[in-house]
Amino acid sequence: MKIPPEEATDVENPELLFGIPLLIIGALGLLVAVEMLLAGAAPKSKTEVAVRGGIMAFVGLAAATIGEYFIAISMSQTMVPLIIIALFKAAVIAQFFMHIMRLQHAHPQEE
Amino acid sequence: MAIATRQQALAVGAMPHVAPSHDGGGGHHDEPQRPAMNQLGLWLFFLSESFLFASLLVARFYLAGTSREHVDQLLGLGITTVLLVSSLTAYLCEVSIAQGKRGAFLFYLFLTILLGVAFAAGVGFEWSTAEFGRSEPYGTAFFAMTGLHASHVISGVGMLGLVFYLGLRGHFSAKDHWGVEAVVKYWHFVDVVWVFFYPALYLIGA
Repeated sequence: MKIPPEEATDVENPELLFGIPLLIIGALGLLVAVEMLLAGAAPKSKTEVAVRGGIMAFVGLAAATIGEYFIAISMSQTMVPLIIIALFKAAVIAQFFMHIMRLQHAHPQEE
Repeated sequence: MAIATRQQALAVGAMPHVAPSHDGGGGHHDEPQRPAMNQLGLWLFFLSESFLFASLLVARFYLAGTSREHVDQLLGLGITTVLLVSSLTAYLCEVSIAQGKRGAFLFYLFLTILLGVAFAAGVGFEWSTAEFGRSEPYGTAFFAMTGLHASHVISGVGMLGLVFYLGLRGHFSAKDHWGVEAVVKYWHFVDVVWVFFYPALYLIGA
């Protein structure tokens, strides 16, 4: 028997059924990671600074991905917030992983 | 595709910066100018690729509007997570070689390759279980976008494999690792593309 849309519950929605626990676990993992980063001693070497920066960027990207998934399964109008989140994620990758800002310092005459 | 592969090969394999020629007869640029020119060339390559991916992104909304067919949300989130983690491992690989830590460099590089293969396998599984056809508007956009992106992932895995092979043979060092940097940047670019493709294909629309 087909269930009318108004009678359908979240239990019949697999995205919500499996997605919410996954999101909660992911959010807890992120909290633990952030706490570890913040609680640790100040980075000493250049490597530590670089690694810590990369992990922080990753935490931000993971949080944004969880956010966009949550928005997609819980909101009806998702276009604008998802585009904003995608732009944020792209900027984080370009800045922290691809080091786009280093381009302006890479003048051939100065090297 | 062939052009992209050739450009990547130029960026990585037998890089002038990796194996510099001191005879002065091969290039138009002096040795000190090469790193900056390499960087600029790589970013121009990314820019040209961006137009290609952007046109597909626009085509998706032109063909199917803001609606979409049913796709496996968990699989989409899973492969997105895999690609995200691979970006971190690629970054750690670059940091490791920049500090001269060859063991960590090879470890993170190998991990990145495994994650890249896992992503491609996930896309392949998605294709085999898709509930829509290639002839439907959304299906056309979905297969074209994921197909082109997956081809870049596969070529990226090939390039990472080449760097891994060269790394095992003792190439690259803390001072001389442009080949690693270029391929890792390319990998991040592939991730940036997916950052826009994932919501467009999996999240936007109902």
